[in-house]
Amino acid sequence: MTVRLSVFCGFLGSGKTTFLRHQVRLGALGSAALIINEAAEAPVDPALLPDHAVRVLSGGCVCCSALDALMTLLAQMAAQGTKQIVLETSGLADPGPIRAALSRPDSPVLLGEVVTVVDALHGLATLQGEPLARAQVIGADALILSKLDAADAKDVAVLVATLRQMNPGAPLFGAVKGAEVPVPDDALALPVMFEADPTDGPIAAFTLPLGAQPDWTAISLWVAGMLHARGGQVLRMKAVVRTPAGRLLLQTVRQTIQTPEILPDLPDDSDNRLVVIGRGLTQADLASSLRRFTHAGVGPTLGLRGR
Amino acid sequence: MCSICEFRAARHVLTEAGAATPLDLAQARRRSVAVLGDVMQSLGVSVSAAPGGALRLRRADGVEALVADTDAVWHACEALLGAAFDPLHI
Repeated sequence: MTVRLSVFCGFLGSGKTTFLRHQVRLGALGSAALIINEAAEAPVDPALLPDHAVRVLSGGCVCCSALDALMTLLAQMAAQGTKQIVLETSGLADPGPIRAALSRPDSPVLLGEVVTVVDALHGLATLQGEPLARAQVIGADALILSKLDAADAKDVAVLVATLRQMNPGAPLFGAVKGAEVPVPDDALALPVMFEADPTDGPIAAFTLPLGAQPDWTAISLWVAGMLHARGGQVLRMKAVVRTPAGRLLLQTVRQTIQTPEILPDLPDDSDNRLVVIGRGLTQADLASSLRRFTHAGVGPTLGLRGR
Repeated sequence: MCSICEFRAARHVLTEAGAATPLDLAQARRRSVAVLGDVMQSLGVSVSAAPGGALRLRRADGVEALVADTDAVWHACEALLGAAFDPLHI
């Protein structure tokens, strides 16, 4: 029996998991199995989908270092009788190699469509600065423009015109979280022409342990300070932090810090670890700097510690 | 709360999002001042709490800046220092 696979791409923080999370809640995924791929060793996104069976591939992108692991997992799932699979790639995945691998005669699945999520708020800046984001748009069968409620209408019109020029064959859908909304008119907007690729070095993911009782206040100050000073280098931060208020989902995209959400109180070994994805950063520098904040002040008794 | 997935939004002020009780909230506010005070002291700027949740930043020569909340503290610190604030270089 043919197993059908849909692939969700999109740059770091574009809204892939939020979109899928709401699709799950709306029942749109039906009985499809879900695979989440994260570049970082410590996956955070599976914690956002507590209602759905999720397989996780972490520590590498399925377009390169984790491609063999993906093919093995797909073969296993096909052998177990799975009929429909949705793959959420990491934000650093190029759909080209994934499409090539899944198009081989020995592929265990039939590739349905590649859908790329583009963030209406940061999409233009991301496309301008990240060749990979452009590859994700060009390699898609369909595009979803996310966060339309948060973006300026003129900027969105330019982004829409740019996306239509980059991938004229791909239908473009609008979304606010998981709900479809109309795509704004781009009739008067001119598309952006991109410069040559920047050479700022590779993007890397780092995992920073936050301890058994994280100091939320110090951590959030460090995050805010880092984005203020290093917002051009820090592309994404993600963590689920256990606090007295509950399991707080901390997410940043470029220099935007999303209002934390309180996740269901479920056990999860990946809690209390902060994933930082960016350029020109080192594990040692990040860990040392974070420690400077969490160890600052008069000692642990005044910290707002997790439970 | 999100109407679809029913995840609740935490407190809007980022540094206070982990607070569950009024006591937690007071601790978070004291902790913010303590952390910023310690970190910025090494740069020559002291930090203290001001009425209404505001923060007072003070340079050694007495020049001060009053900011409404922690969101504004980085720019104020840089204005007092005349240099960029960088957590990786503290």
